[in-house]
Amino acid sequence: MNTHSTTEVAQSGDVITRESAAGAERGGGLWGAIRFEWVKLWSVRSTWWCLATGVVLMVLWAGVVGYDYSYEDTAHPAPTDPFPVGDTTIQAAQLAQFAIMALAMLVITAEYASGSIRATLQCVPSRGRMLASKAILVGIVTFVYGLILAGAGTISGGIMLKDLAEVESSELFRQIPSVAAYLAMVGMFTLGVGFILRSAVGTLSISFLLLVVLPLIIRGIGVDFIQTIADFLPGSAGTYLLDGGGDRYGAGVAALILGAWTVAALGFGYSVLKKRDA
Amino acid sequence: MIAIRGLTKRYADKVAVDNISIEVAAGKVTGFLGPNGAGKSTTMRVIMGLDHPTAGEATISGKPYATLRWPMREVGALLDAKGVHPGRSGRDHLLSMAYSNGIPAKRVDQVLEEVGLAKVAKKRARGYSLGMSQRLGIAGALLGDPQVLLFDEPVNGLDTEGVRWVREMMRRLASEGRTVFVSSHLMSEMQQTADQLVIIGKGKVIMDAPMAEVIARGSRNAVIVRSPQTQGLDKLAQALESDAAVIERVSPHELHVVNGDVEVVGQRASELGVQLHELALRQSSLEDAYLELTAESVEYISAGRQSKA
Ligand SMILES: Nc1ncnc2c1ncn2[C@@H]1O[C@H](COP(=O)(O)OP(=O)(O)O)[C@@H](O)[C@H]1O
Ligand SMILES: [Mg+2]
Repeated sequence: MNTHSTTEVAQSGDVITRESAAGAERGGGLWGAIRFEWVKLWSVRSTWWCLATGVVLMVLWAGVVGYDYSYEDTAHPAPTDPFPVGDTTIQAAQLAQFAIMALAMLVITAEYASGSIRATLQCVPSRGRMLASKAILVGIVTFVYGLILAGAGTISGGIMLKDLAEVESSELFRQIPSVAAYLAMVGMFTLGVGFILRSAVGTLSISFLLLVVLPLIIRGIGVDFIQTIADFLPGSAGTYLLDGGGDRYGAGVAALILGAWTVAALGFGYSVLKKRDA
Repeated sequence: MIAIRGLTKRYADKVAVDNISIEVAAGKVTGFLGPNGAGKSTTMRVIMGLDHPTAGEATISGKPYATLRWPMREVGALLDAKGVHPGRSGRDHLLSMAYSNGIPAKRVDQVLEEVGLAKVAKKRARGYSLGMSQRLGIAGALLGDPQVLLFDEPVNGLDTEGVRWVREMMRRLASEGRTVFVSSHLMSEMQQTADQLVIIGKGKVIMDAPMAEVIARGSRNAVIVRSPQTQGLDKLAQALESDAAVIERVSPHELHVVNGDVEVVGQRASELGVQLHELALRQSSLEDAYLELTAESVEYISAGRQSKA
């Protein structure tokens, strides 16, 4: 096979184009890096497992929430007030987020585990671009997936609520994008932690701790300033965002706090990635 | 062309590469030879912008790798054959890489064909043998049709046919005017492949010379003489030294005549009436010369060799 490259040389001696066996020089850059990540994401089974798990968790849990509300037997007469369908999804999102965390984590930790991080940096040697391409990919994929999940959860919850389902479109238009935005930020935050820690176990533990465990256990403590600290944890902000605001601050502030955590995790991830040997 | 200037790389307390400067020219195969732990892989990782140098720099056509716009179109490298996600097929691995540098997808099938992996390209990398992984790594290096190629121990795990294939491929790449920099810990692999040889040991360059020069310096003949008569050997040594021969007295019963001639030594011995148990010509191989050169700097010497040394 002929892999010779032919070089067209201008009169000044400057190389003007280089047509080679590898095609003309175009593409690459940030867009190329994102396509690179895109192909990598969909070419491993773990991605599909994560997505499938998320759907199962979401549909099951939203259904359980709906069923639980509409459940009646001799001891428990069914309530007569309708239940907003979107609330089933909001509650189930807290469970389905684990699938997103696993997906986002694998985007970086699987590369460190297999050593393919070196191949990645050979293709995209600019570390900032490499990190940006992964963050953009995870952000977009988890946002779109979050919309699908929220829709699926709403349908499942609605079916199980039967005639108690309250479908109010203005509320759903807030809730479904909120779930998607929340899950996208959870994904990018976990990715940032993954860049910092590199190991799957460490990444999951820390993300789980900050997003789920700490807000939950601090809630049980009465000391006021500890409560204030807890309000600023990503998990608490996430809950406020999903609930459309709480007693301490509104959904907009919640999104800002969660966004700040995401940016901080990715920023810290970038600073260690830049210094570290691959 | 690859230029390395004053490169030092230290890991915690370990100096892996110690102030080396080399230029790797285009149109040649440059062998990068040294025992395990000499610093070859570290040097290559620094060239590829993966590890940060402690001091000095490495550039490709004057630029650091990390600043190249389409890096894979300028430099192709096989560093670690096993560094592929085990759950991804070889073809998807290459396809993703192609996208990153704007290389058309048809080029992926071309290189798969070229390295002989077309049939297994859709299988997941988990199932690849070391040899297949090496071929996949080589395919990745060739993908961007680059002018500069680095291969870190490319023949590890390949069978005889594979080794010959790699050797011929590197010769061809160099003949097309490309820069080919290939590492190995075995002189025998380099002997038939490299035009230029950079030998390193314990992070330092021991020798940087054309292959022909290394061969000339490295091949040394000696006439081995063994005799039960210690005094007879003494007399023989004196006589040969007066003929300007270089003598190494290995033991009371053995001496070596460096670059000597068997007939001349035999003649002398018979003149002096020395009884001989052995008279033989020993040609030392390039491998021996290399071992001698690097003996000082071998990190993990085997017990057997150590006692001989
Ligand atoms: N990431 C690292 N951390 C610590 N020590 C390292 C690292 N990489 C290489 N070394 C050490 O540097 C030396 C050179 O290693 P290497 O470049 O792999 O040699 P070679 O490829 O010639 O066998 C060895 O002593 C090795 O243990
Ligand atoms: Mg090595």
